[in-house]
Formats: sequence, structure tokens, C-alpha cells
Amino acid sequence: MTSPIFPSNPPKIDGGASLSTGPVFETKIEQVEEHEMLLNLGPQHPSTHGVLRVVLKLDGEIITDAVPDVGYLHRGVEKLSEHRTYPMNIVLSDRNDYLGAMTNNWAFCLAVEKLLKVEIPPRAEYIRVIVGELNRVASHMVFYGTYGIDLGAFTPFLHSFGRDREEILDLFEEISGARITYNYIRVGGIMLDAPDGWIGRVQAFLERMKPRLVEYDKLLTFNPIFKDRNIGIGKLSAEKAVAYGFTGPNLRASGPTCDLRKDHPYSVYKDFQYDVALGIGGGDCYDRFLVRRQEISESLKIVEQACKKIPEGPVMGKVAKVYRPPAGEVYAQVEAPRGWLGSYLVSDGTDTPYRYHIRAPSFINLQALGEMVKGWKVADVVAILGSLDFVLGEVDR
Amino acid sequence: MFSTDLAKDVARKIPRLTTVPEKPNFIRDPDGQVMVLPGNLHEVCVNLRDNPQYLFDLPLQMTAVDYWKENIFELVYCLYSTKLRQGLVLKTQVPRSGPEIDSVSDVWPGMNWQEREVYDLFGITFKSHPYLKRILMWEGFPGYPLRKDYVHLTDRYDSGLEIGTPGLDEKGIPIPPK
Repeated sequence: MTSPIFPSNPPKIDGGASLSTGPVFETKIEQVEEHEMLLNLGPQHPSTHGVLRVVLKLDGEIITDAVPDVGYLHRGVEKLSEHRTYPMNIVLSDRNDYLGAMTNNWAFCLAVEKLLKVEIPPRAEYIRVIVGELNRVASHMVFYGTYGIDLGAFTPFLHSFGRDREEILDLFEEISGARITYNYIRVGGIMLDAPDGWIGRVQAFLERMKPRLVEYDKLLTFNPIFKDRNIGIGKLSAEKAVAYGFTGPNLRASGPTCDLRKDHPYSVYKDFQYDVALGIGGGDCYDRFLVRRQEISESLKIVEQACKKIPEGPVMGKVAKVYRPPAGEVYAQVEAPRGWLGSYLVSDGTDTPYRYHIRAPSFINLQALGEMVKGWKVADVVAILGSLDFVLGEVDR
Repeated sequence: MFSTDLAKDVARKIPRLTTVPEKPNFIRDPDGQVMVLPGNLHEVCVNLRDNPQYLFDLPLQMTAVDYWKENIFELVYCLYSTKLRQGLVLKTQVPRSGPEIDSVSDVWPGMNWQEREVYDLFGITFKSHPYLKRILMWEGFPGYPLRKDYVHLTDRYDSGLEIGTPGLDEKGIPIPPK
């Protein structure tokens, strides 16, 4: 039986180019039995958080096969960067994971700094940690709100996305001039020192957040309906999570305690006391939610300590306005909100990178989706998709 | 995370592995890297994953670099052990003409899409890959964009200003890098 989604003879476009040169998908997803049907989810669908297409094969309401299809947002960042100078590439890095732009800047700058061997002034490192952790909180607040919407709870979105994340964006606007794409962390330090009283306003925000986190837990974490939709759904064992290359909150939800900031501290993370957020060990949707919910608290702890310890001093190391890093190759990575964000950079001694590869955690985490949704119902697909917390800008780059 | 001592140790203990020789005036960070011949890649990867001394269970990333002057593609695999908390950079090189290598997506399923991406953007074929199709570009896209000799053909999305594409001379022939 041929399916209407995958016509066996793709229509010809004028000019001779054909729409597709062969069957679109792997495995036997196109071979549909009498009792099965194909369901096309996306690429434009509110629950896919961007332009992601998933083809689901259903037996009644049970999913028997699923194939994600990515690439709709591909902008060729890695190719573009070969024609742009190093400072021009920081701007591009903002656009990959647009919910965690600060950590994107950081991952790229860290790689260039390794090539240039620059000393970063301590004040710049502390401000980097503050904005990096606040960005993680902002990113997890988007997750908290949208995940609630995915499962039918609209109110938490208004609290986390509409009220609290706005306050963080206001702080970022004050320090960098932008709300989403900051271009704030630069090679050698940061763009500008924090304005007068900014640290105090961050501390005031932390105080305001404390009672609100209790509210967060009342709204979702301990909500019995929310728990029913999550506990035991979309389990992934620790072995599988590791083999699929999971990092960040998704990996920690399955058990392994890997956290770059603890295991291989970069910047000044050695100076802070905090716990690695873990789930209760099942690797299900609820664990992935819990890890992110706890990370909000832990990140706020780090920001609180950084605000107290922040030293005075310059915020920019000794870097020339125009620089040509020496020839070489480096790999640098940071703990981004979605996992380990790596930059593999090859320089040939000119002012543009010879090769710049981004280790995009969302892209690698999304591979497991097909396996994770098998055997679950259609409504659970939305929960599993949402709990992976990917950003399509980073998946497709 | 990546250490020179570990790389030397791995290269000594696992057969068919060598350390990457140092290059003058070329920074390597991490500097501890090991090299394997493309024919032995799969066997060595299984060993690195299962050897109780190393247990590289997490496929951190893999990518390729087009070294046009040396006429090779270099494949870079970064591996990590969640149990021992250490990493390794594994490299291999394939010729630029007819590049072909064994797939390691059966060793780590996390390499599946990354190999597809390298196939998509570099045109390197991964033998015995379960589903080697383009992933970021569409089916039927002409050429492999991340190769250094890739030529952008003007299409309907160009405003006309891009016709003098960087990397091409007046006759439209790619200029080799200096």
C-alpha cells in the first residue's frame, strides 16, 4: 500500500529537478500494514518547539515506529563562519541556541582564547559566570513554561515565561543592550563592565525569586495531574542515554552525575558551592523535568555566591583589535543549558577560522527520540518531545 | 579532561594505535591525540569502548576537516568515559578522492546522525551505516558544502551581489588556498 505522505513517484518540478531522489525515510516506515497508519507531526506544530517533523507509525493509539526529520532551519553556520573573522563569528553563535545565547558566546570565545592564550581578568570571569547561570535559569524557565503548555497547563507559563524570565531579560538588556542575542562575551573578556548598581539589582532579583520557586513547585512539580502525565513515561536507561551521547540535564536525569562544571571546572566554577541536580533515577519525563527545576535553584545559588565574591578590576584581557590566532586546532566546551556545547576550531593563521564545528547538544540528544517514543501513546509523544528540551536553531545550525 | 599521558598510555596498550606526531608551529589543545588507520577504526573503537581500563562509553562528537593541500580528510572523534571521567581524541585520515570509512554507529548509536552530517556536508561514505542519507541539506542538493573546493551556484535566493563568490576567480574556477 502506498501512503499519501510518501508518493512513490515524486512530482517533477519545472526545470527538471525532482523533489526527491528516492524514498524519504529509513527502515520500513513507509510499509504500512492494514491495521497501521502514518501520522505526520510538524514541521509546523506548536508542540514541536520549532520546525521539526516527526513521522509516526501508529497501531491504534500506540506508536510502533517514529522517524524525526530535521534540517528545516539549516543556515550553514559552519560554512558561513569560514568567511567571517573571529569577532564576526561570535554574532553567529548567538543564533544557534537562541535561548542560551550567553553560553554560546562563551563556548566560541573559550576556543579562540585557547588559541590566543589570553589571560581573562577575574572580574570578567565572574560576570561570565553570573550571566551564564542567569541564562541557564532563563532557558529552564522557558522549558518550565512551555512544558506545562505541552501537557495542558497554561498558568505556569505566565509565571515563568511572562514574569520571571522577563526580569532576567531586563537585566541582560541593561548589561548588553540586547534581550535575546547578546554578543556580550567577547574574546579576552566581556564587552563592557556591568553598569552601576547592576550587581545589586541581580541580588534583589534573587531575593524575589525565592518565594516564587515555592510557587513553581505548587503549580507543576507536585501537581498530581502533571505527575500522572510524566512519571514512568519515556524512560531511557543510563546505558542507552550514554551510548546516544546524551549530556547535560537529559543525561543526569538517567543517572550519571556528569557535570562539566564539577568534573572539569572551567572559568572560576571551582570557587562555588552547589550540588549537581539529579533526578530520582528513573530517566523518565518527570526526572528530566525535576533536574531542570532543581538546576534553577542551583544556578541561583551560584549567582548569589558570585555576586558576593565578585572582585573589582578590568574586564578585558590583552587582545588586539584585529587578531590572527596562530595555526592550530582546539576543542573547548561549556556546560550549556542543554548539555555540553563544544567548539572544535581549526585555525590556519589567518583572521578567519579554517574549520569551525559546533558540538550541538540538542542535535545529539534528538537522535534518541525515535527510540524513546516507541510503545507510547500519541499524547505521550508531546511529553517526551518537550522533556528533551531541544532548540531547533541548534539542531539545524 | 583530555590528557597527554592518557593518550600515550592508550597508544601503547591498544594495538594499531599511534600518537599523533607533533607539528611545528601548530598548537594542539588537547595535545594528547591518537591516530588510527581507517581500516582498523571499527575494531579499535570497540576495544576503546569495552576495555575496562578506558570504557569510552559516550560519543562526545565526531566531525571532519578538509585539508585540501595535503589532499586528505581528517576525521576527528572525541570520546568520553562517564565512569572514569576522562576523554580521548581519536583521529583518522582518508583520501579526498572516493573517501570511505567504516561506520561506528553500531558501537555508539550517538554517532548515527553525526556521521550522516559528515556524509551530507563532506561527502564521506560510511560503510555499513544503517541509513546514510542527507540530514541537514535536502536530497538532491548539488555538491558537499563544507569541502574547500565547493562552488556556490547562483540560485534564486541570491540577490545578484553574491555572483563574485569568495574563493572563485573571474572564470568561476576555485582559487586554491594559499
